[in-house]
Amino acid sequence: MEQNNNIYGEIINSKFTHLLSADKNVTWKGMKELLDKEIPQKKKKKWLFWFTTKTGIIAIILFTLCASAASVYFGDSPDQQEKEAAIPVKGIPKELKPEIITLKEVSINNNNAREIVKIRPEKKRSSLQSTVENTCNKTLIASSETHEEKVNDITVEERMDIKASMSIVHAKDSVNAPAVPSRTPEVRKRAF
Amino acid sequence: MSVPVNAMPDQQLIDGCAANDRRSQEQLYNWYYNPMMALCFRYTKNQEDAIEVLHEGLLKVFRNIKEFDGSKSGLYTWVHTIMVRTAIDFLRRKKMKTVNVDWNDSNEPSIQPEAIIDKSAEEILFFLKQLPVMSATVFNLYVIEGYKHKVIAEMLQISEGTSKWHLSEAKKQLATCFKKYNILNGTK
Repeated sequence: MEQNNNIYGEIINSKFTHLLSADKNVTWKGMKELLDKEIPQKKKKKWLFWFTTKTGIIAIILFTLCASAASVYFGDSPDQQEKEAAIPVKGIPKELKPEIITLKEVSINNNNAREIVKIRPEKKRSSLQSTVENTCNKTLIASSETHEEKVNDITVEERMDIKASMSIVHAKDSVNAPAVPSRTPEVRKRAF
Repeated sequence: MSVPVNAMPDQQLIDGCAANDRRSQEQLYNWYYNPMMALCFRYTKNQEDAIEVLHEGLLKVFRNIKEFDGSKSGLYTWVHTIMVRTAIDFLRRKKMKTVNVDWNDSNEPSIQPEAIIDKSAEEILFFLKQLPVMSATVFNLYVIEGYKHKVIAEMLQISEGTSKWHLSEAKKQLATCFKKYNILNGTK
């Protein structure tokens, strides 16, 4: 800017600088609207902080409520566990007993059946199941003491007896049952 | 906020404006509000027009502040130039009448500085508003802003002679106004 051409130029300028005009706080609103229209600010990525908004807080509260309600209805509460533990068990459930499986190996030429006795290993038991089983065993031991025998402590002789009786039963079955389960048309007719 | 006219806002503020930060823009707006509003008042007839020119000019400032080079000129000078040009554009849009005339410097009337010193800003503004738009603009540009007739002629797209004639007309009319005012108020 060049020098003022007259002496009173500066006087007028200084007078006008202190001229009272419209409130700048009011006029700024108009300026801001213009800026928002002409040079809008880039929207910040708010999704990172969505949980700080009202909607986010409400969503978190709702989710927490739903989760806690679900855990109450579908989950095991400590009281429920205590109740289950307090129920007297009369015997060992089938599921927990070791199963004896008899497999037959049949050779076609000899027409002989060979039996293999396998004891299925016990399933992995949860702490609750093992607690129940222990309780059952104790009960059984207590009851057997009156007859002067222990169920769990089966002697070798007794086991041999059991095996022998089982082999007799299976031998009978093998004699009655056909060696090869063939389903020829004749057999089908007989069946009908 | 009363700020010295030539005081420069810090670089952080300028950078904030360049980054389109509203807070920085508001601070710069407040910083230059008074001097720029006064400038706009001198070129326009009413407050609404003055605010329109101010906002239009500051919008240009905020848009182009990235290109501002502090080594070439001060920020005040830069903003001031933009505001003057915006005011002239505004007047051109309002279709101010231009008359081309040949004018002789020897006939230029003069106004005594004392006549202006006694007057308040509101009074001077009132007298300026009595002038035709073109004459008031040339008076503003020549007397207050300090531009030469050649520059004014380029800015207003008129001849130098016309610029001088408008200045002479403005001074004549102002002198008449001051006389009438002095008579009414019983002063010299």
